[in-house]
Amino acid sequence: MAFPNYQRLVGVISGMIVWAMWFVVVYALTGIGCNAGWNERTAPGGGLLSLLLLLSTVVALVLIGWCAWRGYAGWRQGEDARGSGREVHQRGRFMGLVMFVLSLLAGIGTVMGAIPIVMLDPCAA
Amino acid sequence: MSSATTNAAAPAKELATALRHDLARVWDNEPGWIGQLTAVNHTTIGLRFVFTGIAFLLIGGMLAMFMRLQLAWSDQTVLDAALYNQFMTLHGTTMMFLFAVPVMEGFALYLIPKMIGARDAPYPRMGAFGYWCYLFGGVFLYSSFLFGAAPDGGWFMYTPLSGAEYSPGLGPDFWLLGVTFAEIAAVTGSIDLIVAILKTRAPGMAIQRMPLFAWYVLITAFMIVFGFPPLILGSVLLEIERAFGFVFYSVALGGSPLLWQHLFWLFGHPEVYIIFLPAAGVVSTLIPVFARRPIVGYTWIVLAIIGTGFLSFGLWVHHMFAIGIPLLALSFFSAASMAVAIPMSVQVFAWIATLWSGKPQLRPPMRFILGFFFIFVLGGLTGVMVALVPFDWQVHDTHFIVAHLHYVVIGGLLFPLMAGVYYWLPHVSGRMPNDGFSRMVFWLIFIGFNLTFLPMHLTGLLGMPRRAYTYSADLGAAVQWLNLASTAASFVLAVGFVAFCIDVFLAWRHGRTATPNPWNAATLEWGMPVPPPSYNFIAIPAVADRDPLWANAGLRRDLEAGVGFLPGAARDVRETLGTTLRAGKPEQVIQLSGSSWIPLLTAITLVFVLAFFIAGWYWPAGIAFVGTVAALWRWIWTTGDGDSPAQLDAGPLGAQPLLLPTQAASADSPGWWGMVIYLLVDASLYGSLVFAYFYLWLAAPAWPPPGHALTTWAWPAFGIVLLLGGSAAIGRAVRRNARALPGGGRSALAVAALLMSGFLATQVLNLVEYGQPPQSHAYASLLYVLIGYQGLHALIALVMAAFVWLRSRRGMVDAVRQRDYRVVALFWHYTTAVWLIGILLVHLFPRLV
Repeated sequence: MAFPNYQRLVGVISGMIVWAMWFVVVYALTGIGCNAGWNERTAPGGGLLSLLLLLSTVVALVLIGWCAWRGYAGWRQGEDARGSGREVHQRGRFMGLVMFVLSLLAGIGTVMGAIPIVMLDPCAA
Repeated sequence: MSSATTNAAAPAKELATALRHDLARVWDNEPGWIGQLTAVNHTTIGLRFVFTGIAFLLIGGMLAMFMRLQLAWSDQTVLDAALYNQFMTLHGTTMMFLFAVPVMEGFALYLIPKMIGARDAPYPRMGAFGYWCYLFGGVFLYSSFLFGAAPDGGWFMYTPLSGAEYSPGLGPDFWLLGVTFAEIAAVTGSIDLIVAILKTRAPGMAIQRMPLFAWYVLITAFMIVFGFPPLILGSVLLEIERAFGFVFYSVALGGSPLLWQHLFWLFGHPEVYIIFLPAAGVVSTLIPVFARRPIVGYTWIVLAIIGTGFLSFGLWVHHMFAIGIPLLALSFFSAASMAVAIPMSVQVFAWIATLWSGKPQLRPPMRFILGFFFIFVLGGLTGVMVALVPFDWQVHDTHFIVAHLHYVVIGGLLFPLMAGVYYWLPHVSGRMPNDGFSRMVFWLIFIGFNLTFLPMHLTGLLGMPRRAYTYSADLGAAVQWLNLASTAASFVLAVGFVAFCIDVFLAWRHGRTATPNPWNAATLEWGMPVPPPSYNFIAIPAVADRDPLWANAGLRRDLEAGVGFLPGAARDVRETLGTTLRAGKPEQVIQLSGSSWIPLLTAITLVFVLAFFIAGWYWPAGIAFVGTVAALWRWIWTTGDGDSPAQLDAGPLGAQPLLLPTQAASADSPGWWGMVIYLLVDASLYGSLVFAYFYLWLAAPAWPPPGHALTTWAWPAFGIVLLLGGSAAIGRAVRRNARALPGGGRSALAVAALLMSGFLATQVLNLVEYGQPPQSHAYASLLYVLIGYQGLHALIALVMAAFVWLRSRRGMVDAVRQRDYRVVALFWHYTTAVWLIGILLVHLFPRLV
């Protein structure tokens, strides 16, 4: 699967886009869930709201991991193919590395933000 | 036909002289003071932004000096509470909106085209229009003093204090209208810079070779695209609430004052990085020059800039830690606030590594870079401290925060800015700064700054409140003495700024004449004579390295001889080269506007709109707005390429012709890209409106409130069918025009316009059927705003359709020159797509909850 494409500018920032979407989702879920009383409904492993927040985190991390892999593959591909079409590979290598490390940063941001989900009551003020 | 191109056999030097002569004739501003009012060239406009920004810095600084005098000791009477609040409000507003953002945009506007090998930014008239809006917006804001109505609600203008109930005067109106007016400059500037960087780089300047400053500006401009609309929306809603009694922030009828805080800080925190990133771009540009080696970790800096840009949008609630949000939600923002330190640190490490591995020289600009390091790192460390919720609660609303924000903003923005002024002074003026004088300026400002703001950490920890005109003597003698020291030091700082202005003025007038590249820099702007000619480059150079002037010893000679693309001004029209997005390959010839009255006239019509509006004369305001629309029509009608051929030769002199399309015939024209970026601004504004809708839904006990339910599906269903039909008709118009069928796409355009008019009618009928006034509840107000937003877009789409219809009829649009059809189709489809969300919000969601 060639999506997201490390040779496109939107592909390069795809990991951070997933982080941004995750951020919006968990913030909105907290607001809506606390308003609707989802934190008081039980679910396997704890409250329903915490479970939904963790699920969205897992989904985000899987997607970010995929973006990181695509970036890594682009970076390595550019490196391996050095010599032929130098210009294109130089660019591919650059964009692949940016995509890969940006995705790692997105992953770190997601994990840092998600740790309190397992530590705090989602609606405690 | 120009003189140069008829004489290709002349010796190279004479040929270059002839090319310069032709270019100056086409590119120079009109002579005289009156002629200056029509200037649109990026060099002129960029410098105007910088000088006006520094003027506002001095004005804002004077307000701060009065505040420091008032706070020198407890219970002083230099300013009374009312005047202090006005000065505090205008100090913060001036520094953020009228100094920091415009001055960095001015730097970018002046430098970016020169750095990337272009002759001008892609929308010269828009740059000039932005400047006038900025200037008039600032003057409009300060004119409030003349009417005894200066805003006094703080630069953050929190509701309900700024609402009609607690601020019945005109103060908040001056703020809301003046700041929004000035913000036009930020938005137009960001569109100009994004398209410039993406589409007008020199051939060969592929994305991996862009100057780092261009990366910083690109990301900053995108941050403006997404960060400014929430505040624009918040300001518009507050002004509508104040002027017409709508409800958004008033609790009694379903609004929430916290909505304002969210919208304000959704802008406000990215804003910190919006002003910091270009300054960091100056640092990343200067350090390699004075370390005399290429930057270490180019790729890592690029990804750090992008990462910072993203993460900075996840911090806004850290300005609202004390308002009662659940702890888990706070922790998301706390974590993001700490995570942003990672990419910031990557940049700092890269700078240190470059200095470490190079041979640094302590020249005047470098001194300010070292000062930046010291101050900004301290500001960053206190930033990590206040990112921690418990610590933030302790120092909330104390002078500790005042100290932190000034360490960040003055350290992060002002010191790099001054470094940049000294660095590019030879470029702008052709004269060198004075080393001895600038050293004195540095120490005055560095010592004055630290002695002014370092004590505030302590006074804050000892409990001294901020945003208050005085403090109690009961806080202790230490607080009083520290404040006195702070005030005394602020005079040292003020003297430093005055000395800085004198130093720059003297160097400009009497400094030693600069050689063309006095710092031995690597970036393209130093490849031209200093001061720079109005056209920047005789010919557009080809670039094959990140540090072109270091990597190619012959590049300067080639630039002086006019070797490159689009040499001279063969067609007596301002032209620059358009290149592809990633690879930077020649793609199109972009013909640019020359000097014009239209930007100034358009801005003046807007001044009338605002002046009539604030006076409550709504009909005259509406008439003035018709004038704005007429000016805009004239503006777009006279875009530079209306009658030009579809293809032009852009190749170097004496080489094989390189036939490229003009922008009207290019699939990737700046006009199309400008619309794409504008629609991102528009979508960000709409996203903020959707956020407001859901936020108020969560806060309200019943949604919709009793008696407000929409009962019929008939009008919305009919409306969406008409809207989708209109989009299909526009698609057909584009295809018919592309196939050069008889009449082009004009008949399909007319059908689309008819369907859009029908859609507008269904919206009006829907509101009639709803029957509730917008002042009755926040739900009703939002309903009117959502439908009004849609209606406004529908009207704009109709005007655009009429415009393209006429252009097509006049033969300015055809199967080869398709740009106008493509641009109108983009806007039209966006309008349809937005209503697909709107109809869910207005008609489906209230029925589900």
